[in-house]
Amino acid sequence: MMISTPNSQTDGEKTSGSISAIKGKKWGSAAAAAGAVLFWLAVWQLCSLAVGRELLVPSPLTVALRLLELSKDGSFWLTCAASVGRIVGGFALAALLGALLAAAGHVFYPAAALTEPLMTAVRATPVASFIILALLWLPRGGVSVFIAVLIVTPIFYSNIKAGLLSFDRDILEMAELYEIPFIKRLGAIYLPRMLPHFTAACSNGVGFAWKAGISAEVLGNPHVSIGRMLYESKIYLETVDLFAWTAAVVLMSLVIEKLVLRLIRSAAENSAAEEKR
Amino acid sequence: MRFRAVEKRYGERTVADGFTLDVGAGTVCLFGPSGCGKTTLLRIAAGLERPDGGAVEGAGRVSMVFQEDRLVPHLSSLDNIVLCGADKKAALDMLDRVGLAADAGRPAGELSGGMRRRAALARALCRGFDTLLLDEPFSGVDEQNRESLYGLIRSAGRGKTVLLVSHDRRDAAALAERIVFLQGPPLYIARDVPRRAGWEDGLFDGAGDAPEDEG
Repeated sequence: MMISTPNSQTDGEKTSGSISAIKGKKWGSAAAAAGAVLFWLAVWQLCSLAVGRELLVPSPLTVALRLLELSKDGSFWLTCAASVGRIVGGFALAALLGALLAAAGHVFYPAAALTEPLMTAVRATPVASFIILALLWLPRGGVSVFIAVLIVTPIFYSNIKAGLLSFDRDILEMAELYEIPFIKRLGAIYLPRMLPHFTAACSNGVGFAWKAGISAEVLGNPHVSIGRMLYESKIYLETVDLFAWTAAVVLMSLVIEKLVLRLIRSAAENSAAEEKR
Repeated sequence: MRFRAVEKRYGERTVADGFTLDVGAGTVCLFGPSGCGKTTLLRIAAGLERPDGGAVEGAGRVSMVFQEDRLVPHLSSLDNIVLCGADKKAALDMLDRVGLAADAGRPAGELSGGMRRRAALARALCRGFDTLLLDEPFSGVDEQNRESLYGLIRSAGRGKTVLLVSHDRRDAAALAERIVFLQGPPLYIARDVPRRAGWEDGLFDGAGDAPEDEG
């Protein structure tokens, strides 16, 4: 008879044990996140009950039902798609611009000297000032794209700059001596080092792109946009609609953030697999 | 290979001021106190530093073991070598010869100091070279492995130029055909002797038997 003790575990038992430990941890953190969401929904419900007027603070259930009702209409999805298009477009342009400016500044000091004060000024300037100016310069639909680019570019710029500064000069010198081709350096040296910085920029940038982009839509009022729906909710005192559209924005921001992060992760995994081949 | 009237300054500090040294085929060990400029000489020979005056001639294709391991930490030792242009089979073979076959797939960052040193040497030996520069290649390597690495360097360096910087007399005794004692900065050659003379001077006391006369 084989007696199993903790010390006589086979490799297979150890592996399945560690997998179930990881799964347990994952479930634990998911449960904690769900618990936190439920807690804040309860706080919201209590506030709504305390105020006692749906016009001021509608209950979470009322908002959820309204969101469900809105989502049954095709125009809801069209409106969401239009805003997503503008904001994701602005976000992507900002990622590209931030990366280019950081790279230019890294290899050519005068470029950094020129870019740095611009980024500081953009960070410190109120979003509303940019939106008002952009309304004068651009067509209404372009304002939210422009504002998303403006607000998110400094986030990518500073994160990618930090990533570039974190490169190990010794390793780069080794790559020089061993004449490692640029494309291999990119996959094996540059990208793995940049990845955490780029991921952080994406994670922060998505939220800021939504905040700034929707604000621009509220003020710019393009024909099909979530901003316009928020503006109309305010005009007609439809607080439930305001909450429902806001909830839609939060949900879309979360989904897009998760999608972007998953995209980065799978690109990194593919690049690592390619490197191994 | 020849260092011809090499000059090198870092701000106010002059490391080399007209330094000249001829190195033919074979292994030359550079001996000298820390900070005298040995590593700078290797870096100039590797083309990683530009001399302020003079030149390094005839180095050809250079391979090098740096003073630090300089392995990409998240890559395995095998991938580190492949990244530097070696084919996988040759890399595995070399890792086997430095005693790292079993650890070829482990990330370099997880290896011990001595193992990383051996992986760095395997990488350098996998590259075809005319000149091999070794900057303290055995630091942290245990006795048993050290002996086999000596043999590996001897066979890989046959007919090539090998420039070895080491503070350990055993390394010079095992590998060098010629020992150059440096002082500085600024660098100058205090003594330049064949290995046999090292034993006669008592330099290699405790480093084993004197070599057989090869002439």
